[in-house]
Order: sequence, then C-alpha cells, then structure tokens
Amino acid sequence: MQPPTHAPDLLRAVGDLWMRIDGLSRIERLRRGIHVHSTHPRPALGQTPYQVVHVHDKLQLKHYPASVSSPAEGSEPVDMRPRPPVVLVPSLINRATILDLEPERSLVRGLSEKGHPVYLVDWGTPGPEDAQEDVGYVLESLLHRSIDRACRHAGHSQALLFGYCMGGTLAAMYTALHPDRVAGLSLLNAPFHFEKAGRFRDFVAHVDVDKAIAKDGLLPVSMMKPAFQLLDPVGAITKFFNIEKASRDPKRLRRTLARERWLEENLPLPGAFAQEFISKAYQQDLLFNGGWFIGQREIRLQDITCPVLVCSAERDFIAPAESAEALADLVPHARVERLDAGHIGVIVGAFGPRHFYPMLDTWMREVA
Amino acid sequence: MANSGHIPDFNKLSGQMYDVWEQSMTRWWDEVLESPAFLKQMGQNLASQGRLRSAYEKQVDKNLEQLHLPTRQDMLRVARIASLLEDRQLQLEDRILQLQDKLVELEKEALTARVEAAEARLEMNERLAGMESKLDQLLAQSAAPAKKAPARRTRKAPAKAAAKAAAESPPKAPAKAPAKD
Repeated sequence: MQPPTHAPDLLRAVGDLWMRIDGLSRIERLRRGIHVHSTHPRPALGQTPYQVVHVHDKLQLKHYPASVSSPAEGSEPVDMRPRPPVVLVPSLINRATILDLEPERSLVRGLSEKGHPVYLVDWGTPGPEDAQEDVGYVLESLLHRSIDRACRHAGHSQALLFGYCMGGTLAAMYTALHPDRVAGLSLLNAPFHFEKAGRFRDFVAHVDVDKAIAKDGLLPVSMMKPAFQLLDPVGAITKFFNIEKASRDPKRLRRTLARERWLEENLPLPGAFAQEFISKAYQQDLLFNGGWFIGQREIRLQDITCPVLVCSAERDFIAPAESAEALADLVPHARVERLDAGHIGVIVGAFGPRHFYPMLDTWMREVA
Repeated sequence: MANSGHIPDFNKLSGQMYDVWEQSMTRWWDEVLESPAFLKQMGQNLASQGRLRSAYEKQVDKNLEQLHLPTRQDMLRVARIASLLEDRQLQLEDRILQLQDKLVELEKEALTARVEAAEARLEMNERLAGMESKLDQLLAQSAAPAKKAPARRTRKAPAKAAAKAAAESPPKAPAKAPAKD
C-alpha cells in the first residue's frame, strides 16, 4: 500500500500558527539564532596570501606585496612608484585577523591592491614564559624591530604606521619615542584620553591590578571576556537575531560568523604588560597627562612631528570618540575624522571598502 | 464579527511586550553598570579571582615538587631561557645588519672615491695631452725657422768661456767623511 501523498503536515501547521504570534516568533528566531551560532562551522580567516619576513618569539611580521589591479577604464592611472612600507599594528588582546577577516572586507588586501607594500604585525598568542614582557619590551623590542625589518625589506628608511584600537595607542607611543622612523601615523579607534574611555574604564578603575594580575602570569581570557560582554549585555542576546536573519543568505551568514569567530578568539595578555597598561593608561591617564616612562625616556605624545590622521567612530563603546580625538589636543597638526560606524564596523563592515580604505590610501599618498 | 479598535491584537502585543522587556533590561543594565557599588564589587571579584588562581597554581607546583616532577615554574624557566637566547640572537642580527649598513656606506664611499679618482685621471690625461700637443706645436714652431735659416750660427761661445773659467778656479776641499760611532 502506498503512503498518502497529501497527508496533512500538522507540524508545519502548528509552526505556522506559532510564528504568527509576534512574541513567540521572536523567541523562535532567538532559538534558531542560538542553534546556528552553536552548530555552524566558523569560516577561515586571514586568507590573503602573505610571506613571513620576520619572527620574534610569538610575533610574526607578515608581508603582503603591493599588487595593483588593472585600473578601470576612464579612472585615473595608479601611481606605480615604490611606496614606503605600511606597517599595520593591531591590538594585543585580539587576533590580527581583524585586518584580514575575509577577502572582500580586508584592510591588508585593500591597501596592497592600491599599491602599498603592507606589513602586518601579528603579535601571536603569548605563553606564560612571556609574562614579564612589559610595555617597554613591546615597544622597544617587538615593535621597533618589526618596523626596522619592514623598512629594510621595503628598502625605505621610514614607515607609514597604521594602528587599530590598542595597537593605535601603541603605534602613537612608538612614534613619540622614534619620530625619525615614522613618515606618517594613521589611527583608528585608538584611545588616548583614558578618563573619557567610557564603560571599560569604569570597570578597570576599581581593580587593584597588583592583586588581580600576577606579574609572573598572564591576564587570562576568562577574566577579560566578562568585562567586554558587560559593555553591551543586551547585545549579547540580540546578536542571535542578527545571526538568524543572516542564516537565510549563505554569504551574509559567512560574514556574520567570521566576525563572531574573531570576537570569540580573544588573546591573553602578559601580566607585566596588563598591569602597566591598565594602571598607567586607564587608571592614571598618564599618556594624556604625561609622566609615563619607558626606561629613562618619557613618552610625550607632543613629540610626534609626522603627519597624523585620527579616525574615531561615532558609536564606539570601547574607545569612545572623545577619548580617541583627544590626541589632537596634544598634536595640533593631526587631522581628525569622525566616522559614522561602530568600533569594528569601519574595518569589517561595508564602510571599510567603500569609504575607509580609499580615504586611508589618499592620505598616505599625500603624506609620503 | 469584525475586530473593534478596542480589542488588542494579541499577536502584536506579545511582540511589543518583548520590545518593552528589551528596553527596560537595557536601561536596568545601564543603571547597574554605572553604579559605583557594583563596579567596586566587580573590581574586588577580579582581584580575588586573580589571588585564587595564583594560590591554586602555587599549590599545584608544591604538589608536583613533592612528587619530584618538574613544576610549571621549572618549565617556565626553561622557556624563558629560550626566549632570552632568541633575544640575544636577534641582538646579534641587529648588529650584523648595522655592520652591513656601514659596509654598504663604505662601499658607496669607496665607489665614489674610485669614480672621483678615475675622473681626476681622465682630467690629468686630458691636461697631459694638451701639454703634449702644445709641446709638439712649440717643437714644430722651433723646427720650422731652422729649416728656413740653416746658415744661422749656434751658440757655442758661452760654453767655451765656462770651461775656461772652471779650469782657472782653485780646486774644492774634499767632502767631510761621516763621523764614526
């Protein structure tokens, strides 16, 4: 006997009824979003081909050669003269793949396709043996050597620096210490005036760093993550709606999950670095007020003489625009751009390839 | 029977309830996260979490030590030594690169000096060639009148007079012998 071909689909009927009730449909969407988030494989990140030109402990300096695509008909010819190296400095608490998340939304690709030799500082994952690496070591040993090797590799005496988030803060500190090595400094969502650094500053202002962070250990991800989640607690739930919405389009889902993967993969910080940075930057605001010494030398942001581009985002909870733009108070010749985006939207959203990468390229060609 | 405007649409109402819940939760969280008491407590929690972790690690180390097993500290020490060695290797690399830079500079200077020397030699050759041509011209000039007037007397009289004077003058004292030690 053959099965009935037109059997009533009761489950579908109940489901339709369920989804007609707005509140229940939202719960169902939330459930589906959580399901997709927990079961869907994460896409691969950092797919742009590169060559490692320098290794220092966990750090890798990745080189993305300039590769100019043929210009469109009628467009202006691309300047093919050899360019100074562009060194990208990401934050220490996240993976460097934020700058090369996916082929269509990749800052490294965006800049290298415009003719810049790009060098990405990938800090790597520190181990307990790196616990004693402080801010001075990061600036004077890791970053200094990376910039030196990038300059040597590109055959130029100076580099163009780009710093994102905490990487921007470090890049500016480095420029203040070694103004002769930097031809231009561009910053995106990098905090400087930590008194105005918003909710994250409120969290760490009350932390006794000497007790909370062991100098001979690491600041583990398990301690950092709750602080970041508390920046937007409701957002931790509502993101599942976005995932559910994205799941209807494979390309969009891939993009959303690439971002999720990056957000999930925080990195621990060396104890000495975390202690110094939280205490001197977030608690005492010494970068803005002065009095932060690396060895015998004071970091004076006023000593930055090269052209500076400060980009801040309108909806940034982590490095609020007021905190990022404060650099212009100390470096009056800095050009300030406030962008209509969030903390990571400029890099991973459509805003990047449409507006931000071309803006950065134009500025870099103007200054060097 | 048609729905009158007073009867609420329960389907939409539940959605609105969700929106209200989300907004009120956001407001509540904002208030909580801005409260100094909460933040202070969070800071203390973090500090105690850190202390607990450190105490736990020390205890594990002690236990392993009693079992004569390498502890985390022992392994860290070895890894740290490896890092320091790498640092020293990189310092050597820096030094080699600096020397290489100097060598390149010296090579550049040597090349410049060589080019300058070659240019000077060329200039000298040109000057010598010029002088030679002038001498040739002079010789040619001096040879031309000799051909025209071959009967002209040469100057022999002054040489004869000098020989006569030398024969008449007294002989010179011999040179003093060098003093012996």
